[in-house]
Amino acid sequence: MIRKILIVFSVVLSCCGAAQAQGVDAETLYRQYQSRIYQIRVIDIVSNKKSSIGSGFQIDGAGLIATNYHVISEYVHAPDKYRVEYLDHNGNEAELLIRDFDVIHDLAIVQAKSLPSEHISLSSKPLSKGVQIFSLGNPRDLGMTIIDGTFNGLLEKSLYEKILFSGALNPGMSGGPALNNKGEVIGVNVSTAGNDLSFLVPVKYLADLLERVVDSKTPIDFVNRIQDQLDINQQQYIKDIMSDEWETTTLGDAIVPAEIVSYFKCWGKTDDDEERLYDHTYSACSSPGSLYLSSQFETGSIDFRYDWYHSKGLNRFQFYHLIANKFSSSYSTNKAGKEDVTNYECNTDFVEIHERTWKVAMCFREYKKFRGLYDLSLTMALNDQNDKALVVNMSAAGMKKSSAMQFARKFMEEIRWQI
Amino acid sequence: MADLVVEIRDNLRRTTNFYQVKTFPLKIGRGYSNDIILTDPHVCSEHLVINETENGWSAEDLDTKNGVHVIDKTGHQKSLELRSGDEIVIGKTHLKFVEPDHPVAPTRVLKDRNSLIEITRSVALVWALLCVLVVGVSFENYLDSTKIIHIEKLIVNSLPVVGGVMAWSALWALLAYIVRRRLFFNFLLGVSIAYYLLDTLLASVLDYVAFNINNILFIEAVSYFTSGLLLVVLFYVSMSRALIMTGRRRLFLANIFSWTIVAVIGFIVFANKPEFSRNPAYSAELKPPFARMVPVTNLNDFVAKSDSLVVKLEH
Repeated sequence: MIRKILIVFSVVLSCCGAAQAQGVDAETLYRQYQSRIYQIRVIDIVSNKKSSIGSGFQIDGAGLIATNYHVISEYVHAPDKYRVEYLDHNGNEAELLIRDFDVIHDLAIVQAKSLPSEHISLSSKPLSKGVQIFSLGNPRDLGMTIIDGTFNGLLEKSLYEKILFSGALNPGMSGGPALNNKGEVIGVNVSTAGNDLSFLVPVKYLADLLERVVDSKTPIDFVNRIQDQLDINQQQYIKDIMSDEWETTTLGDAIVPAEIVSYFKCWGKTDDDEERLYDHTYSACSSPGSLYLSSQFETGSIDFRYDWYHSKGLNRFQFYHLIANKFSSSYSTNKAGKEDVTNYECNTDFVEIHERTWKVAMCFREYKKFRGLYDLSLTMALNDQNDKALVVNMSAAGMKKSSAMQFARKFMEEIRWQI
Repeated sequence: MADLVVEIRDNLRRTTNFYQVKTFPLKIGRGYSNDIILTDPHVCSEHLVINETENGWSAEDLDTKNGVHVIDKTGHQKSLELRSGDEIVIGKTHLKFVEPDHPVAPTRVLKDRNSLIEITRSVALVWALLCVLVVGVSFENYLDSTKIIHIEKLIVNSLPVVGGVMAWSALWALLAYIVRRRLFFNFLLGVSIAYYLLDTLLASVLDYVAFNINNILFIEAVSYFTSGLLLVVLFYVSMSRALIMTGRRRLFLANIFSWTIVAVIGFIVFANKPEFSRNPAYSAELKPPFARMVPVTNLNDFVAKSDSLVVKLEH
């Protein structure tokens, strides 16, 4: 595989000698590469207008253009309603063909019919933190721009590897290239958290995808491709989660799972309302980010939340009125629409776990297009004391049945008691 | 046989006229040649002839379109024997036949409506009933509160319910006044309050059932059914004072009204139910541990059952 990548790179590098200049500035880079960067547009066939826009850049001599999966996702989900086009720096438009994509890392490679062979080569060298990098793209359809910023290494707390880019990416720049000072692609613009906090997809994933595209000539089936990628991805992350020793935290009398994998983030807070006749503390954890499948459908996220209640004078009826309110507010954190998933079906019962009695509602909904994948929503309330209760909400998206069962079971068993 | 008194009553069975009859045959109908002339358009011009017999009187239908009905019997009667106190219906007019010495109901002692005790007693009863309601509603609100809540606030919060119940009773009282010339307000208020408290109690009992039985559909069905039954009782009892009709007819109407209301509400709820819901729907009732009547399952069985649920989902 490494050899294949090298072969691809050697082809790429040999035709792009011009891009090997040392220590260029933004102006030079822009002048040199603007013709290899495109606006990628998804056009609504009926109205013949843009439905979404992004950026893309040419990565080989045969007209392959890289962009983000999310730029073209509308087309992937409804190929009969949309078409994908590029717009070059001279204002020429032409239709594009989807060659392949990687929903996990949010990348896509599209094919243009006749483009000049000039393209941008992919870097294979690691960068060190602090070096200046440049990002190109067409923000908000205002025209091609170049911005500079700093490479700040790979995100440590991330579900999928991402480069932290201290520069101001804006909508519309998605899919554009981030270049080092030699004019090589080191990443692909993907998202921003505002205030110069932006994220890039590391170039190695683009290289992998390009290798796959070059190797395969047959057109892909979009739904099967997404399904395969989701299946493999969920197997990997459930393996990571299940093999790790779970970090726990104490909450009231309970010891509960917290950062179950190093990249999970947890938050907590205690209410201090004097008028309330109970104490309430919550702790919430989530996996960072989720997988974008379409503007209405995201998956791959895991979230959980614990609410600990301790009565300071409520009678048992009042106390359980409070707990019932919390217990009824179930939790489904990933975005999904009617076309994407079924309604939830629930199994509700009293369950004994570590000699404590819970009322548990375990609910599943199936993915309509990607059969065999489910969203899990688990809601639990401790129901064996008159003045103390723990309510747990957990949501895990895009799991296979066996993984979901395995995970839910371990999650429930990992809630233990101090006394 | 002695003389006859014919009492004419309208379809609400209010007496509108008396006739003292001394000569027979007695002709009754809408035509001007009759001895007793009725205005009811459902009565024929020559409808009925009454003759004297040894034991009473006989009534003969003159081949009319609407016939003669005897109260508490079904079907037309061509010819029938009447005794003192019998009541028949021609068209929509009730005719009661009595001999002059037919016993009448004992005399009611006239209440001194202006007596202070009488007024106080009546007002005190209304206040007592309202207090029961305020206490009931406040107690319900108290059980739902999770903050320090003062009694004044609880009372104030119960006022909308009190207003609603008063308005409902007032409507029935108005109806009673139109139909029977009496308000029966205290009675109708008592019925409305009893209904409200019973309905609250019933909802609460159902919550405990729902806590144990985790079947949303079953609980919903039971809840609609019991609410309907309670509504039938409310209508039946309220109508007993506000309207004049037979028990059977009242029961029939009470059922029609109640089940129509339940069906309309059910239909609105059903029609507005979203086809797709982002969040899971499950039986989310929680009660104190003492209320649990069903056994606790172990984690293995629970996970196995959830697993089979997913298998069902696949199909």
